[in-house]
Amino acid sequence: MDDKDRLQKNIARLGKAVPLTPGGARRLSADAGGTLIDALLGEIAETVMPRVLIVEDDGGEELARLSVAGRRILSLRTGQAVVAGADFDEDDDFAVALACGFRAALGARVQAGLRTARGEQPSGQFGLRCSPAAVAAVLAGQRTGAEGLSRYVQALGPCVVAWRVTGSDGAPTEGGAPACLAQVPDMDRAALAARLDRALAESGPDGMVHFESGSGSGGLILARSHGAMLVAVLGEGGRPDPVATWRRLVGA
Amino acid sequence: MVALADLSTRLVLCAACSDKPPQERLDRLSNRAAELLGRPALPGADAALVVAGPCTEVFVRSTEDADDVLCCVCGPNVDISDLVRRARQGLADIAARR
Repeated sequence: MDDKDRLQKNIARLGKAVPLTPGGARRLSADAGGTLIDALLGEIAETVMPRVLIVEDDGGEELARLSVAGRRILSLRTGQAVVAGADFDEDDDFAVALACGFRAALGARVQAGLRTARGEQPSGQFGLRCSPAAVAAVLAGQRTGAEGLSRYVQALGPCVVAWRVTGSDGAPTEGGAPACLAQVPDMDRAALAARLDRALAESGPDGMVHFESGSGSGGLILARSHGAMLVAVLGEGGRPDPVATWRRLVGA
Repeated sequence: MVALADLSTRLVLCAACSDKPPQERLDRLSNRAAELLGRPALPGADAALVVAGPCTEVFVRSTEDADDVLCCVCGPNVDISDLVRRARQGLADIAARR
């Protein structure tokens, strides 16, 4: 084989493995200690010239291939088309959509982290409009909205003596003793929303507020997720850690 | 960040922080403490925990002096129950020194 043939063969092999693009290709390899979507979104945010991003697991198996240009994903291929034409700049929930796509396409494997060949990147430093926590919530199988709040109440268990979840459409779902709920000040939807607005003023619309008394005489949880709101009255005695449970099940 | 705030004046009396927080941030913190514990949604509550995003804010009111509130701003990997217990103990120590 002469040099020309060898060169053509190499070009053909490279062209098959990685489409030739002005920006070349970058391989992102899995690493359980890294962060998957943060690193990937960081690469997208920095990519101006057309580039192919190849996502591999820690065994070198290709998980996904993205064509990226101008901070925009042109296509995402994971064996089934998941996201195409999504705009990183203009779609607030794009990162969540991407994470959903990865989760649907790749299942549990996306929970393995990624690191870029470029080295360590601190997570959450890419100016995402949606929070890295929101992306992490998707990857961890967390739920938001009324569904997430209901799961949260269930996880708190029998220490919840009464609760009400009001969906984003205003439809309420209740459990426990209604008389306990009636004793909570500002229980109507508008007053509760106003109270949460003030409590979460600096952090955005979603979050959880837990009131407790040192005498152990119970507690109260107010929370909001994607327009749905929760009021839960807690009884005395032991209970799961409301903060840790919130982070695990609802998160962002 | 840990700050001791006075609810009656809505002022942070002292603060410990890895950096020097601007006064506006301290003002917002004391206002939030007053908002949460001045008229708490749970009558008699002496602690309010606010979880939003990666941040958790903990406000604990002194049982000895109802105007004293410890405000703590911490990341996600903090044992909140232990923090609240320590905050209550700290407030009791402050009251005992007066």
